[in-house]
Formats: sequence, structure tokens, C-alpha cells
Amino acid sequence: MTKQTDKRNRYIKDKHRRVEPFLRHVGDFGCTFGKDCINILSFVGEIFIAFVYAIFHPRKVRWRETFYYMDSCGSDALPIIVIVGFLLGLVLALQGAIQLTQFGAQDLVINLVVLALIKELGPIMIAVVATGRAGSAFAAEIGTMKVTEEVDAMITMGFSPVRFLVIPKILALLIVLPMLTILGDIAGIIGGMFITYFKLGISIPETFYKAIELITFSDYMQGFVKSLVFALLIAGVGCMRGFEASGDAQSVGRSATSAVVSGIFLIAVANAIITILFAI
Amino acid sequence: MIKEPVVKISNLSIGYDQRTVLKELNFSVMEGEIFIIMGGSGCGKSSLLKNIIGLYKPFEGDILINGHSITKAKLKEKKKLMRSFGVTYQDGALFSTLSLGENILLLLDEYTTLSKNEKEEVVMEKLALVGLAEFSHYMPHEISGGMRKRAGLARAMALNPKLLFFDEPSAGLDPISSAELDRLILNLGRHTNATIVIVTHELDSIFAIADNLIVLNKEKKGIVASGKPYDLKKNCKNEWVKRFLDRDGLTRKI
Repeated sequence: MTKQTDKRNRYIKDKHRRVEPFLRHVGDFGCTFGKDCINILSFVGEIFIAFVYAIFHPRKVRWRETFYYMDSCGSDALPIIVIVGFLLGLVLALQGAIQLTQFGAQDLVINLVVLALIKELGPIMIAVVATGRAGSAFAAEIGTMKVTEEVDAMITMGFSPVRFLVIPKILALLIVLPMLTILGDIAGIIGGMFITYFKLGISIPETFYKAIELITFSDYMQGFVKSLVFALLIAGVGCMRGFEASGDAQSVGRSATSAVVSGIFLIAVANAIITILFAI
Repeated sequence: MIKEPVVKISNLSIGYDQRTVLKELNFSVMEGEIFIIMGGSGCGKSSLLKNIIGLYKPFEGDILINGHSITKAKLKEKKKLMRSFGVTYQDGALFSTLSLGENILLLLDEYTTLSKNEKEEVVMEKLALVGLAEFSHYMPHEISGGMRKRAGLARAMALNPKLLFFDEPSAGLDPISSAELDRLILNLGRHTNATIVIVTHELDSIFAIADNLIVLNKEKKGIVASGKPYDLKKNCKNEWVKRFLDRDGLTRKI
């Protein structure tokens, strides 16, 4: 009897041993997830308040910093955006030409390039490049400021770090990303024309007018809305990850990586949602 | 008339997550005093300072600054309270995208209604106070560590606060720069009658400038001694404090 009870007790103990770590992990995950959600919500709330403040007090906006970020995220990114856009259009047209020629539909190559670029690939590719450049830079900059106690200094001076550090970055990217997207789209269409002219022998003016006729206001708006939303996500996530850095240089590196990964993930999700909304 | 303390700490316990670093702290800093918080590395000196200036929330207890509780204050009240004192950080914590002059100007732009010329005058006055008048246009990365700390002090003085906090002011400085900074703090205390709270473990600084001090101990998680520096060195009964103040009896015979 005693042997049996001992065996049973050992079994229960072992079972608890196996279940406890699992429950602890689930609990830890739940707590961390909950904490993250609260942090994100409070950060979004702070951004909203700072934005409203900026609208009613435009003189209080750090315009010098805003122009600085417009320069670093805009004009400095222009060469890579143009190259990426051009190559994207070129490859898209080439692949399209190979497939569509089989069905005698080579005239539709430019349709494929223009619509795919303006509605989907253009905003996404330019946003991914911007995430790699601006998102990680924002996270690293704010992370370093946290490690060197600049953010603490700001708080003890009574300044809102969101108003001083986040709003100029968001404003800059909101202005610059749609412009970059348009330029990237144009470069992509030129890349497409390059193929239609040299591979398919369609004249450049013909392709150009066809492209112009093809773009509707709704197509253009879809790309524009996407680039605005992506700008908000890239700058917001980059800054938020920066504020999460603490202690050492490694945490700054982790923040920058995390800004890129979460940025790209959120861009993909937002892109799907916006596309569905425009399709309805 | 009995003076009210400028900073009053009552029954304070602080820490991170669920780990208590310091507990049951009770001390007061009186007006015009240079008060030093000292202790070994990792005992929680800087964490205590961050709790006092309102960056962290303590587990328990209260912190009164000029009679107002910073722990219980609402956000708006807390911001106002924070503006009533100046803080200088270990490496100055100057805003790296702004020049030294602009670092000071930022506070004047936000919180004063001075004209542009008056603001420029204040900036130059504050920089002259710390011997950096000719460096107004320099960026923080273009000057030395000691100069950054002095510029941080000039910024902390921008709104003429009557209470100043220093986090390890002489850390990483050579003896001459360290002595210069101590002299600056001493003169500042004398001329402006500001109350100064310093977190440090530099014994030379402590004996040169402190009016009063408390000694924190990592194992005890609290204050193990308090008083005037020379009194403590002569009369303190606590063996650990005696060793600390005597640098563990280490002297090299030539």
C-alpha cells in the first residue's frame, strides 16, 4: 500500500514538474505580450497627443530636425530608390514579356509593369528600403540616446521625448516617403519601357501614353495611401524599438534589428489590409 | 525657525522588477548644503538618484522635494517639480545634435519669454560660468569628457535652479580636471546658495566639498553611516565604512 502511494506521489510530482515549466512559459508569454500591448497602446497614444499638440502649436515643432531627417531619409536615399525601382520595373517587364509573348499579349507588358508598380510593388519595395535605412537608423539613434542618458535628461527637463524625438522623424518620413514612392514608380516604369523598347520593339511614346492612360485616380490613391501608412509604421516602430533599448551597445543593435523585422512584418500586414479595402 | 529640508527621503525602498536594491532609507538634505551619496560600485547610488529625480518609481516610501512629493505627483505636477531642479549626468548627456549653446538655449526657448538677445546673453553667461564661453558653437562630440560635464552643468543651471543633482561628476576625469570640477561645484554652492546633491565614490571629491554624506552598502541594502566626512573618518565605528574611507589601508611605502 505504502509502495503504491509512494509511486503515485512520485508520478504526481513528476507530472507537476513537467507541467509547471510549460505553465510558467505560457504565463510569462502572456505577461510579456500584455505588457507589450500596453506599451504599444501608450506609445501610440503619446504620438497622437504630440501630433495634436504639433497641429495647434506648429512653431513648437522641431522643424530643423524635421528637415534634417527629410534630407537623410529622402535625398540621401534617392539613388538607391531609383536604382531599385528601375531594376524592379526592368525585371518585371522582362519576365512579363517572356510569358505574355507566348500568348501574343506582349502589348500588355506595360500594363503589368505600371499597375503592379503603382499599386503594390512600388510602395512595398520603397518602404522596405526605407525600413532598412530610416527605421533602423531611428531605432539606433534613440537607443544610443537612451544609453547615454540623453532621454533621461530630456525627461528631467520636462520635455516630452515623443514630441522632441519622434514627431520630427514621423513628419519627415510622411513627407518624404510618398515622394520617394512616386520617383521609384517612375524609375520602374522607365525600366519597363527599356524592355518594351529593346525587347518587344514598342516605341517609347506609345508605351508612355499607354501608361498615362492606364493609371486611374484610385490606383494612384492606393499607392499614395500605402506610402503614408508605411511611413507612419516605419518611423513609429523604429522610434518605439529605440526607446526599448537599455543598458549597453548590444541592446542598441537588437533594437535596430527588431525595428527592421517588425517594420517589414507590419508593412506586409498593412499592405494586405489596404489592398483588400481598396478592392471592396 | 526650523528650516524645512529641501529633499526629504522617508522610508524609501527601491529596486528593479522584483529585486530590492535599497530599503528603508531615511535622510534629509538641508538648504545650501553639499550632500554626498556614496557607496561601493553597484550599491544602487545612481538608482537612488534616478528615483529622487523622478525617473523611476520607488517600491515604497516617499520623496519630498521642497515639500512636494515627487512619487505621488501627477504628470503635470511632476513635470513642474522636475523643472525646479537641474541634473548633470555622468557623461553630460548633452543633446548630440545640438551645439553647446543650443543645448542651453533649448530650455530658455521652452520655459522663458526672454528676447533673442537676452537668451543669447544667458547662454554666454552660463557657459562663462563653467569656463566654456568660447565653445558655444562646438558640438558635444568635438569637446573632451571634462568639458562635456561642465557644459552639462551649464545646461543644468540654465533656469537658475536652487537644487542641483550630480551623477558621478568626477568619474573618468584626470585629477586636475576632477579638482577643477570640484572647485566649480564648491563655488556654485557658495555663490548661488544652491543645494547640491552628488552621487560619487571619489574620496578626494568627498573630503574636498561635502558638508554631509551618507554611505550606502550593497550587502546591508541601506545606509550604514551618515554625517560629516572628517567626523566619519575619525569616529565611525562601522568597520566597512572605515575601510572604505581609508581605501582599505592601502599605501605604498617608498
